Amino acid sequence: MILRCENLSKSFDGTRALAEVSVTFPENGIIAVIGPNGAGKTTLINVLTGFLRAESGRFFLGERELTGVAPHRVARLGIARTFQDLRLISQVSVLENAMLARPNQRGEQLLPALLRFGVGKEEASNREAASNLLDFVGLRGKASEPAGELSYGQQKLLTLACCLATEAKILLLDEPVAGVHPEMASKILDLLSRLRDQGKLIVFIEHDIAAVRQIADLVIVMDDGRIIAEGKPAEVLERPEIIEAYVA
Amino acid sequence: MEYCLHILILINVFALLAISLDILSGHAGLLSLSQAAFYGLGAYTSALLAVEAGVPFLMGVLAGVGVAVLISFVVSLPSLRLYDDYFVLATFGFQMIVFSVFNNWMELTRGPLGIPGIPQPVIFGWHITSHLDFLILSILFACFAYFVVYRLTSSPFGRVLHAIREDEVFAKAHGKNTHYSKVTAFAVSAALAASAGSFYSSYITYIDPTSFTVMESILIISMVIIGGAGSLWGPLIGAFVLVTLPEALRFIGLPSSVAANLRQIIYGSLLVIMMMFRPRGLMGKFGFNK
Amino acid sequence: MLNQLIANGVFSGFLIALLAVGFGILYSASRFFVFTFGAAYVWSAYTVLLLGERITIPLGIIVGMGIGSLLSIALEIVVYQPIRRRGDYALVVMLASIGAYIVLQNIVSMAFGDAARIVQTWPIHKGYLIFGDRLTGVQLVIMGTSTLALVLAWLFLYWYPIGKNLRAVTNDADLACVVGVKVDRVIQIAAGLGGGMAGLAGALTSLDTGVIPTMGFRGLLLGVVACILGGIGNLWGAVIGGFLLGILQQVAVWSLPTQWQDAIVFLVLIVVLIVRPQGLFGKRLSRITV
Repeated sequence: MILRCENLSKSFDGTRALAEVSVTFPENGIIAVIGPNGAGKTTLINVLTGFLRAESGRFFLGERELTGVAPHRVARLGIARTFQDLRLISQVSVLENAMLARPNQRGEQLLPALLRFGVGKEEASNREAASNLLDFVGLRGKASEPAGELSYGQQKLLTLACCLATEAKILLLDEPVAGVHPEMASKILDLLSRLRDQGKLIVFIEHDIAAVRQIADLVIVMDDGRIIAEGKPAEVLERPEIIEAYVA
Repeated sequence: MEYCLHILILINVFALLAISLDILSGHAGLLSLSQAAFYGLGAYTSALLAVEAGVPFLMGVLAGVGVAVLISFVVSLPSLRLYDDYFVLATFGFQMIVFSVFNNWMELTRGPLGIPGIPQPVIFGWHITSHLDFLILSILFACFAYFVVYRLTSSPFGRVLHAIREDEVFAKAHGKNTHYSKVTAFAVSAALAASAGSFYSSYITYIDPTSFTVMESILIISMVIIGGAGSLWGPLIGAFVLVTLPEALRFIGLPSSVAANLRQIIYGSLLVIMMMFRPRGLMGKFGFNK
Repeated sequence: MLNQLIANGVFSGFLIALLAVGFGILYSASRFFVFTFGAAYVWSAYTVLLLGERITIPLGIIVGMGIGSLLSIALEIVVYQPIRRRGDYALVVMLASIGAYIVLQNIVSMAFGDAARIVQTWPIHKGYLIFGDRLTGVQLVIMGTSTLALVLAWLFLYWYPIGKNLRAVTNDADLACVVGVKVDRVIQIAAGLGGGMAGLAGALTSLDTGVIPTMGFRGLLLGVVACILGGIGNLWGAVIGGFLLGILQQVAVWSLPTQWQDAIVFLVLIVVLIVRPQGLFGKRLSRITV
């Protein structure tokens, strides 16, 4: 299903964070969104996931309009995201974080939680799915540790695992490799490539141009709330005005 | 001996109230100042039904629970969508108003005069009259409440509550309908508090508004906080400490009005000291600290 | 009849406006909901009782304001600041403030008893005829003093550098910090100012309707609801909210049966939360940034 937006605009206290942004994302692949601070990149993710309401413009997933839909519904419809300031439930275990993210849990409703018909089986299957995801990102050994005790890089892996746990086809990642050491960054980028090969759409915000060159199929450059360039990395990243927007 | 039984019964009642608050405040992290209001709604509903219409005890309990749950939506639905502080404020306002209604609606509740002559319970032929009978019943009620809270908090429903407590945005971003979870937790909390009220009214056989003030709500909060939030033992220990404390004071021989104030000063101070130095409480599982 | 109602409402609106502005200042600066506001209110009221009858009322009012202010600042520095610095949840500060309030209210109870008391003011005569309504000397004093206080508050916030800093912190604490505003100091000043206004409101209320130890809760509730009605972060909004709430209360007294009169405050809160949470003139509250 195609994710696309038309003329999204959003201001905060007079500053335009998004100015008529229109984008049609491909069905799968890795898209990098780059631009200076304040360009509107995180705001775009916030709007596309329902955490912020745009003042004008609309966005769609396939045929279905998602403008104004609550964030938890957006997530259920197949768009997952991470946050710039790492968000996790630090007081519960790594495995519990991943299990929380599993969709369609009957046990989250009042009566099934009390009466427990079928909840045991559901929990077991969710536990297995969550464990497999922890395996995929390489955190199997840490499954029972409180999430707050992981290293920063490991926590980033966990947030990725939680996104995957939701079974979303579309992942919007806010700076997935920022602040981690190069080995971990490599690992994360590798995971993202594999996810792309599995058919997912990954849109990530990054400042690390090397990361962008390494895995991105497409680059979108934003500045001042607008999209100023779109295209393949090799081509876009050589343009003088782009280099200037970054260095300036 | 009777006196000891009475104390034990009170401990059970307050343990029930404390655990009812704990699922909301300890597990979901939502502070509510209205537990006493729901406690009172349960008490008045079953008392009035029993006295005016001869409704048997268990039906009275169910009615009280029903009233509490329905009214809980009036508080929770508007305020839980918004920022946390609004919810606390809404429960605070609600508590104040419910007390005012109890105290001023002479035709229905007889206001400050209270409702005397509440019949003692009869459950499937078991006439509950002695202190021992009431102790057993109170234990059953408390155990039921603990069972409900345990089931809910150890299930995926509880997992969502724990997530809401720490980071609701995270929960929402992963597809959780946090509004549903919060409103439901509040309703469960109200229901359990109401059941305590129904029990209490048929035990003491007389109720008046002074048992259901905001101070009472704060006492219940103190039990949860001091005993330790988010654990099953915490509220029980909190109830034990804060019920026996004033009794201990009584033995020192202070005049009862001063004793009442002193008791409140003590748990107020404990609350401040706990929050400053040990927010986790005596046996808490989840601290309120990051 | 309606005229008299509105006049009464406007009159009580003065006092509520003071509370609303005081609370608004304190809350906007610190973003933590604390109960000590109510403590300032009640302690000041009793100061007037103590000093006013023995020495002179104006002295009682001034000292009362001072005590309200100091109490607020002291709690801020000793209790809330350390907790906030630790980075704990807002809940912890709120609970500590509840504990502190309980201690403070009970001290009043122990010293003065639980019953309601009246403060002897000047001899009552027929009152002055102003705009077609009868107002007593006491009422004129109350209105005059309140107006003076509100104007001074406005001047302070908009003209003095400290006041401007306070508004900066209200708008964006992080930004204010970056440009060198000492956020902690500003919050202390806000506490002092807010506590002082609560104190003034309490002192004036004591002249109007007397004192009772539990008045702190009422003062807090009225102040908060009026502030939310007017819009948090907007001084004149709070003032308007105060008057509006005062009038609505009078209308409720006239048109509703007694048991529901206090409920009007809660009703206003719920309606505001459902229809327009940011109040008439304020900005929507949200600590959650994504």
